[in-house]
Amino acid sequence: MNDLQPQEPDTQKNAIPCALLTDWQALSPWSILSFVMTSLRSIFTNGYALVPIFYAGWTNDISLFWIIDGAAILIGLLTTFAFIQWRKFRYRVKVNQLDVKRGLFFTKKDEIPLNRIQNIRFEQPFYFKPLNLAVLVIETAGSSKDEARLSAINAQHAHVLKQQLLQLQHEDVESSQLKQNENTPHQSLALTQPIITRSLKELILFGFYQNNFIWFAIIAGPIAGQIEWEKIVQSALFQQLITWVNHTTHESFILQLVLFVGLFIAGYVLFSAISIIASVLKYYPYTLDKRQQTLQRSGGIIAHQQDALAIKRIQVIHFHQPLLARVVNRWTLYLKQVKGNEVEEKTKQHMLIPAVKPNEIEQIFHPLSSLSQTPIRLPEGYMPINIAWLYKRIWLPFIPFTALSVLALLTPLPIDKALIEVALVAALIVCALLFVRFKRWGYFLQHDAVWQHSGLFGKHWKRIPFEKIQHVKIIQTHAQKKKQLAYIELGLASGAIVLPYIAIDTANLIAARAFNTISPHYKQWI
Amino acid sequence: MNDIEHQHQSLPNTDIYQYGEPLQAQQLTPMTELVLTHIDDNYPKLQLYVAGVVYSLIATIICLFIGFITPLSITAKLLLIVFILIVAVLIIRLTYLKALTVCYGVFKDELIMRQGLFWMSTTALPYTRLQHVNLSQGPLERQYQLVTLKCFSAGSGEAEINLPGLNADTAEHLRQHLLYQAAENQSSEHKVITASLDS
Repeated sequence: MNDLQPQEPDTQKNAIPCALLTDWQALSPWSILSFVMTSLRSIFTNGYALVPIFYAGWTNDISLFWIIDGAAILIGLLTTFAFIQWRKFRYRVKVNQLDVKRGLFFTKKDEIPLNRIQNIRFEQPFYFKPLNLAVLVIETAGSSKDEARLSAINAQHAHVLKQQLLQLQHEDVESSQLKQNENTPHQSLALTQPIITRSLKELILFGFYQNNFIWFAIIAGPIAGQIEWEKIVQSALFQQLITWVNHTTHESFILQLVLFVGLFIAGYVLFSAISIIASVLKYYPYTLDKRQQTLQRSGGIIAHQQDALAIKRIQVIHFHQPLLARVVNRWTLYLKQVKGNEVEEKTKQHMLIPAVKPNEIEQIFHPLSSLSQTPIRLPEGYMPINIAWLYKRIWLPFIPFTALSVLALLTPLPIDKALIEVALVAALIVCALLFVRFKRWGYFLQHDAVWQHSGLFGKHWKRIPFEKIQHVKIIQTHAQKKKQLAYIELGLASGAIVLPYIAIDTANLIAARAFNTISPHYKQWI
Repeated sequence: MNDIEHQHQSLPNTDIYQYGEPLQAQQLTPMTELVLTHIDDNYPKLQLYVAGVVYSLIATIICLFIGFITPLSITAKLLLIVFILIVAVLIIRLTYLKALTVCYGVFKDELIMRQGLFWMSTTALPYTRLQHVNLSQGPLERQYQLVTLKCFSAGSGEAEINLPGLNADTAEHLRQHLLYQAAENQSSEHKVITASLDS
């Protein structure tokens, strides 16, 4: 049934928007496979919490048959459920809305107006590649969980459907001028304008600087809790290891230090390798294209994925440079959308462009003229915030040290001197970090946008266009009022952004520019 | 008699008034200094009663716990109890004072709300960014004919403006006004679009 559809909309697209699809359509039976696989995958990816249970089961000698039986029952249940889902699932595309019907006992019908679609994701898992099938995920504003998911659609048909769903919402002047070109698919391909591609080397670089230990902590945490450390330390192998270390290093401290630093570096390289592999598998070959008024990102080795995002939905552009990326002078760009409607479904990530050189930024945003009238590039410098921010915080880390010293001097409590020293060193370190953080705080004011600069080890630039601001909040304490300072909070659909301790005049200026842009006339901003 | 004499006495300091330069746009009253309307007088009262009951209950429980269970000397116990009572009274007083600071203003293009005792925050939400408006009334608020008005924009699940203690009539009026403004703004967009398509 689905095999016939791709040609039809191609020819009839402009005459009557998709005459055939106005009837209720069922999905292909392959969607059962898709449903079972996604359920299994979500069970496994969320299942690292089950690792201790399996480990306990393994040590308690639960027979293999139980496990096989359990797995069989699980898959059987999932398949039955998926079968019912497939039988009951219907969708249709009307002129300006998508209807989806599903459910056995509780029938649920969603009517999605096309201009409310936030983004459309095209996924092709590895088991669908040989079948030339794909999954379309349609996300709308407001419902972050129950988005429509059209699985096991013919890949070409999915592309056509995606274009329909996305293009119909842009019946503006621009697209009506282009209409005569759209009649043949060959020419409509010319409408696709490449924005940027990332080579394998750049993705490796991205994986290298983006890697972090958090993933390790998440995986290792439950396992480490299960290991009986005392037994390991007392075991013969560990004792042998210690004697071997002492022997080979001749018990010299320097050599031991070198050994441990070497081990640390080896561990770090291992994590980097994992991160690099993950980055390449997920993004290679990375291409970002502009197709009419949408941005489309595609890539992925095992599971091919294509994200589409309407350009007008982009709220804040976030430039992030982690510590390692500063060495190679690369930035990661995040195109922030409405909160709760991020492109990546599970990790809640925004669409990103990895490993961008500073001089590439202007080229990337040049075709996206609707984001800004003026060219977008990283500001050269920024206005610092008031030093009062630092004065307000710098004494806080000394509280434990002072309290401990006072107690040690005035009361007969037995307080270790080493503890006081540790408290002092910790306070000094926190002070230094606070100072670095203060130095990184700043803003850069433009005619149509304000930039926020922040960071500790890494650097963040966030570009906040005035036309996307939803509310402005100015907060002052009595002390700040006397010093003519204020916090300003700029509320956006992607989350609020705060500039602390800036001059009240600047805060009023930012508020005035924001209101002059957004208050006089209504313009769709999300 | 005296008045007439005064009229003819010439005082160089008061007879001529210097108007000075006209104010620049930057010197006009900023958002944080705008004069706003206070909410219903019953709201601070209600907050005072609620806070009074809740915090005195908590304080009583802690005092009973200290008085009967903890192994301390009588003086230490008394000192602690007095301290806790003072803290409770202070919290109740601050809740009341904070409720007194809530005020709002309906302007041509924005709804502005100000509140806060130590951190005085002024929030402005333009009608063009208003997604939906919500009126709610708890059981205690019903006794005093009070209503809470919430204004939402996109993105965060929280209300951008959470304005409690409005008189029920005012709130309904305000809600209608806000909805009208939002609808008006959005329909004006369609006019612009059809105009551009026609031309």
